[in-house]
Amino acid sequence: MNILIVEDERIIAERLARFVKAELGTARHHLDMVPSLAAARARTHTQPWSLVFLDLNLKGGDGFDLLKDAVAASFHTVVVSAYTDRAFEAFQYGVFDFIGKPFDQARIAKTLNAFTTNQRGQADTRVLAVKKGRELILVPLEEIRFIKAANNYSELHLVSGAEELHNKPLEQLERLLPKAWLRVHKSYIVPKHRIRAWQSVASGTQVELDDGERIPVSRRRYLKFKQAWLT
Amino acid sequence: MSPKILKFTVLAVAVIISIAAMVSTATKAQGTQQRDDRMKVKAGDDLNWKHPDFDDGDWLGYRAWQIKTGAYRGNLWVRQTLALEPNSDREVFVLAATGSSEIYFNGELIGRNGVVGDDAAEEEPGSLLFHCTIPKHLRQADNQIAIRFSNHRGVGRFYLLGGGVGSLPDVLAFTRISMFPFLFLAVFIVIAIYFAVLWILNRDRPSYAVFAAICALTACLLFAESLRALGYPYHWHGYRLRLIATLSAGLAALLPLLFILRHDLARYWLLGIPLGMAVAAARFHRHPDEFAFGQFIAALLFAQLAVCVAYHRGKTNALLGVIAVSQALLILCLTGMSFMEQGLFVSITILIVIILISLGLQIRRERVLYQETRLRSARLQIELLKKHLQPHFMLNTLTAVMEWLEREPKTGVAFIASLAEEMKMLNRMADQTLVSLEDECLLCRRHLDLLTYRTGECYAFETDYQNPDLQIPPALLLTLVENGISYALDEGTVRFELHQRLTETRTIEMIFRAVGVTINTEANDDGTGGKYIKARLEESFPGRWQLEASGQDQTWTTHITLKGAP
Repeated sequence: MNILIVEDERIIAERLARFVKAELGTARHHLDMVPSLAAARARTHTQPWSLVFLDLNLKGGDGFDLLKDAVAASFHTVVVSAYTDRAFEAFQYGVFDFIGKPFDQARIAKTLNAFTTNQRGQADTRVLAVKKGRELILVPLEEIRFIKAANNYSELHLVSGAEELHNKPLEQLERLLPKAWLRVHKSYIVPKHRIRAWQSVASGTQVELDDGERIPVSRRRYLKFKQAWLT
Repeated sequence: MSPKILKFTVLAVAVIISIAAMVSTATKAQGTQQRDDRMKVKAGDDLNWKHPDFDDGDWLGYRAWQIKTGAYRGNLWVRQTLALEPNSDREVFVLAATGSSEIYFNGELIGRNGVVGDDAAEEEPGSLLFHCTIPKHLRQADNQIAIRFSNHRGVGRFYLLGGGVGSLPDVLAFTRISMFPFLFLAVFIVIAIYFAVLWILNRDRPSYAVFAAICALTACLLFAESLRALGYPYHWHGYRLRLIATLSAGLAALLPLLFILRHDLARYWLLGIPLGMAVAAARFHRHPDEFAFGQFIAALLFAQLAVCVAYHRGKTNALLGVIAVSQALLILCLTGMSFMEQGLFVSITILIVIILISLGLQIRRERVLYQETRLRSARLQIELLKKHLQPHFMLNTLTAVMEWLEREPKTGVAFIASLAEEMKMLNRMADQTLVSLEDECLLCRRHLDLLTYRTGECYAFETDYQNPDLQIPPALLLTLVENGISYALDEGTVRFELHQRLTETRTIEMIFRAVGVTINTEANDDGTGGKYIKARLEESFPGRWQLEASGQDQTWTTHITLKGAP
């Protein structure tokens, strides 16, 4: 597991690193520290990070710009910030967790535990940031019909008919989405409120979306889906 | 209309009015000659001169006689013919002159004003104003009025201010109208007292005192002018005219002074006042009325110049001044030489009302400004304290404190002590609007010490100053230090340099450099830090500071200039 700490105050970065090392112990991981996101970006291409602790001064306008930039990337972002009152806002952008300063080891442990055991994040995601060329666009969840895996990316199929490509793989994106977004298939996530009906066909089970689109339900996930559908 | 065109138009109109006033003064000076020439005058005393058929062909016209004679004391006769329509109701003879008199109508004595005599002892002074009725049987189509005068107590010239016949209602109406100016007297006195009190309470506003004096002088002038309607012994007239001339000269000095003070014009403008008065006195000096008139026109023209310059420079309320002076000049244009009787009080009243409005506006503006200053001061103090309460500073510091306490408790304790030091210092400084340069530098050092505990970096802070006691707003340099730190390069430390010089012209120059920062012109220029610095400088050095900032080669240079240092 590759972990990156983006923090410009060295003592705080060292504190974070100390706790991460203490938690992960001898488990195979790679830890790195950089003072800024710009410096991190220079290294992202060579090292695919799985988790980034990001120190953000969220008070200024550019704090959220940096945040959008981070959450659009393939890794999960944990915001570490002094501005705890902005946590709610940060969660809507799809951060995995938000750690307020000052923090202790237990808090870091909790985040790492949730991450390593593949739990859902603390996110209350409302929008997904998508990198489109040099631009960042924000896609509200209610505009998405369903999400389809595309290799290491996820295709967001929008109500408008357009498709946007998100940098996170489908299984990582799933961890940030609300519980009502159902993983019906290895390659599909569907929001529950869009499902109009489900039916058995020769090849298995299908769900029909409110716009007529049909999405396959895999056998492995059928029971789980049925349970979620009925509750 | 664009402001530029408006300004040009206003100034052009003001100049045209001024020129017109000057031209009309020059041309109307001899305006009343024709009428005066119908009155024939001869010095001396001979009762035969009362006869209607006496030939006065060799007598001089009144004006010509007065100019030729100048100051006069003694006996004289005045004769004039008068045509009356049949059955005319013009039965009252009115006379205003500086002498005791006997009035003969077609040879018959119809009235005595005092007792005419051959010397001061024999004479009993008559009133300046005199009325008598013309018996019906004497009135014909063509009449001869002959008046026997003596003015042994006269001061200066002999004046025949007015004379004529009218119906009783006409004469009464005229008398009533001439009492009218008294109504204004109280108004001017009240305004004068009001502004005198304002000045006593605000000694730094000399324009209030000048305005109070203008109102008081106007009240005196109004009283002196109106006295004529009440009537008084003829020989007071000369003194009254001199009094009016003196009051006018006083007003003439104060009017431009008011505008010079109101609009903060340079001191040398004050020289123009005696200069204008002297030029006017040289041109208009033949008698007190003319002198007063000359003083007014000089004062108004100079005041016009002052307000136009002020308006051109964009001074507040200068437009009202231009309007005020222009209307006075315009009325002067229309009335010419008879300005003193006909136009003076109307124009001065309008002028005073306009100045009153503009002073009222000024008082309101100052109050608003004062409120704003107080609010801003309070806000800046809070902003200064907030620097260390904002989460970014406070919580990052606490996180670092936790780390040091866990890792090296001794360093942690030293860190907390250092934090306490800076907090104490900042708290003390927040109460002040100015602190010494030395204290400010100490605060910056303390802050950098604190940051060293947090970031592990060492920050150099080099100072080179001449005046350690120089008073500057608190946290001025601290803000620049904070800006420098927040734009620090990812790798390496920031070094700060302060150079301060006091130049010969009492100008302070401070150059502050942050070396080792990212140059981002937009962000560095006017962030919250920049706003704080500018607001603080304006608070303590209103209009006397300059701030220039530029970045190059990882160095951000801030150049602060303070003028008029103590």
